[in-house]
Amino acid sequence: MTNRYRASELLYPLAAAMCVVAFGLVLFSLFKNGAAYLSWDFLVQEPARSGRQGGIFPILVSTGLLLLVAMVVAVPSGLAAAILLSEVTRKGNLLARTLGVSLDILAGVPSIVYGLFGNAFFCVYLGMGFSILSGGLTLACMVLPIFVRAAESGFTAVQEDWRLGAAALGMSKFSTLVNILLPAATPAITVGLVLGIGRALAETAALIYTSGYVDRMPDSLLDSGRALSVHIYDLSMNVPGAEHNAYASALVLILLLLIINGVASWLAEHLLHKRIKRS
Amino acid sequence: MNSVVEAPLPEFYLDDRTVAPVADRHLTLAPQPAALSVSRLGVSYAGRPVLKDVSIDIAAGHITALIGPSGCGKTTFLSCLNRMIELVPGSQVTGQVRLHGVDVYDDAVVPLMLRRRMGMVFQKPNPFPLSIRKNLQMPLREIGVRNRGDLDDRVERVLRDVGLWKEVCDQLDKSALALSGGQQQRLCIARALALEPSTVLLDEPCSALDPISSGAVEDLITQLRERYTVVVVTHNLAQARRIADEVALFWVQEGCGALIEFGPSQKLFCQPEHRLTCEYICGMRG
Amino acid sequence: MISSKISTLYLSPPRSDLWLALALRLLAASGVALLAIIVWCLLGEAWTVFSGVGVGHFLTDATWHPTEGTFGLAPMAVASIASSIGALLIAGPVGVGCAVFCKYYCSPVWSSALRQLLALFGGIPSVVFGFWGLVVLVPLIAEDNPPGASLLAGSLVLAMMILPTVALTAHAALAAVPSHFLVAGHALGLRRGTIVLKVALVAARNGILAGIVLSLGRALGETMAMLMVSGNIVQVPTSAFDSVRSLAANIALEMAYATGTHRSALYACGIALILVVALSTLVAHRLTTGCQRG
Repeated sequence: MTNRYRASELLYPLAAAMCVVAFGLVLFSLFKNGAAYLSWDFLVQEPARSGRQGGIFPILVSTGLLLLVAMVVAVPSGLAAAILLSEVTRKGNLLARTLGVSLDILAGVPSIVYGLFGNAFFCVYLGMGFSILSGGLTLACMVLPIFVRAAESGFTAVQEDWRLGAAALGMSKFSTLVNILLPAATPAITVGLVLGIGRALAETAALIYTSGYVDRMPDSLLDSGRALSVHIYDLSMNVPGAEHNAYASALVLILLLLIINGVASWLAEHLLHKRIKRS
Repeated sequence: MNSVVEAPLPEFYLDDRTVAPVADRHLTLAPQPAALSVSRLGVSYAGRPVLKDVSIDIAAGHITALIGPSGCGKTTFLSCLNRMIELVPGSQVTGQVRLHGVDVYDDAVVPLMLRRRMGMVFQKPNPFPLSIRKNLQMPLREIGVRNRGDLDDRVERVLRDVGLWKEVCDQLDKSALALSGGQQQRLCIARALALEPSTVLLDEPCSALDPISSGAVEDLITQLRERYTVVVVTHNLAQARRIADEVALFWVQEGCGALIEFGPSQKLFCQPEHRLTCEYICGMRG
Repeated sequence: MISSKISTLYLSPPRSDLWLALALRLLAASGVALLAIIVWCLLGEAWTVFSGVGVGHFLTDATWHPTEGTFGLAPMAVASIASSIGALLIAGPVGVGCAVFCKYYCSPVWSSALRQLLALFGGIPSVVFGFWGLVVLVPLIAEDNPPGASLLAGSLVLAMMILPTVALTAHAALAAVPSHFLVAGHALGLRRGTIVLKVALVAARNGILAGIVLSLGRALGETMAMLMVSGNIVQVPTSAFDSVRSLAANIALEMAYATGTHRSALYACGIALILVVALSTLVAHRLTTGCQRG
């Protein structure tokens, strides 16, 4: 009886260990094989011989531009949607409820379907072709639900006391929003931003068919560009003999994600510090 | 001691709108014109009545205390005065509330503007998560005061008014949340006073504070007499006795709040007319 | 000295409030419009194949050769479902076990560290997992069972991808179990293992199931990982070592060169995918908002 107790309970730490080991394996393998090829040159050179040699500079630029377009579009509309959802949850407005349901559905749509949509709508219907703009806009659609959910939780968490206090002072809704609600919800908005950026950076399938494959430096937002994740895909599946650079690119991608997560955590801490919690 | 104050006649009285005659059962005792005149006020939440048929005249420049056990509608009544009750979904208000003769529930009156004329202080101190200076400057910027010098002047003036200036003058840029409970409440009062309202409404301002801070806030309230019309909701009979000029007793009757008695505090505490008042004051009920 | 300024009561509300209300409504409406546009686009593109060939073909045809007129989704649907279920069989127990460990057998400091680590793992892009699967797992499997790129490899990689989600949602569900359940268990003299198994897990089962169903939806929709490690041959798998092609991978592969009816058929695939994922999201919702009792 005591044996059974001990044996079955060992399963739990075992499961946890398996988790850590599995991911440890992946990360370790990436570091082991990719670190050697990661260098400053790698980051600033253009790819050569389809990526077997050279670096990833134009790809980093394209990735940055894609992120920029996605965030510039997703953040304002996301904030507006979050404000509406949090303001109106208590009143149960039809528009707000429909919006909430739509966003939940959008959050679950697979990324390849977004690729199909982006291709049909932005590339073909709106005539933008394979471009950073198409890719960025498609990414914005994907990031929106995540960002709205995080921002909304930030707004609803703002204490009712402050809202009542502002109303009793006769402050307009707009200035209550700008002076009190937005600053108070900033940590949650930052988290939403980071989650959104993380999703955007990780996206591959949607980008292949909206922003294209070209690996040279894009001339403008309407030019085609290759994102980092697409580059990793291309190097590993389509270009024989380019594995070392694929490892290095994967490493760069993971490091980027780590840095963004770290910066966001630090920001959230720092912003929270300025606002001393009540005792 | 009670100076008669002439409220300048509002200039919009160009049409033949007149002040509606007061209902007969109206209890009024102040010799000077009432600042707030409430007439047959009733409130219900989603069809369920919580306050019925309250008629009362609140004198300008006096401190009026609303006393009574929990749940008898005192806070609801207070929120009706500056239309904060409208923020509660499902609430319905009947009756009339007149501020210096103007019906505040009139469609033409903008609640936002009304609330700038009536300051409100809540039970739990709720300073904004900003610096002390910003807490006070924000409502001022709202009403259009932009000049840096003006802002600083008014901030200093109102902080001196509530007795916080000496304590915080060197830490105006620190977070307001770092202050103690009593200081936060005085800051909230200062914030309400910053807009120079005619009336100040306080909902159990001392109940969330320790005795010492409570005393400081109480002293502050007594100093507001004559410069503002003050309406205070309080649980504390002794406090009502100490600070109020007039006292109104609310009670729950048939599941709904109602006004039982209203009169000068001396009279109410020493020679109450209603038996319920007598029992409540003597502690036999409550 | 009482100021009245009563006439100010009648001033109109600030303009900024009106602009704000308008802007909010416009932007929110565009959010709703987005979903409508997506659905409209997909249906529009798929219309050619629906009207020309008909929905029946997708269900009954034996195999997928759009250029020759056969549009059978069955082999790929089986592949998607098999790989997802395989992934769940691995990630489910491991994830829940990990969550139990974090909640009940571990000090809070380590627990929080482990959870942050899991969140980090959850953020690793699928293409990185696919790449690792391609260069490490596939050769490993190929040593004994060529070709290596198989259903098994796909399931393993998918399992790694959904593991963090399963573990974190299970942990959240366990954390939401009211403490008086556990206290009652202790008061009855139950051993910790029994309390965990018979009390906590049972009470949290709705939340855990919801997390699992959600992960199932994600696994079904996953494209890159399956594309890179599962071989991409259209066939119904008879063993775990057969190469297969999932629905999502199919779309990604053929989109590059599909035209006309073929392209339209791919959009029909996309619609099928959405329906499946929407179904799983609905089931997950029903589970979480259903019985809250333990």
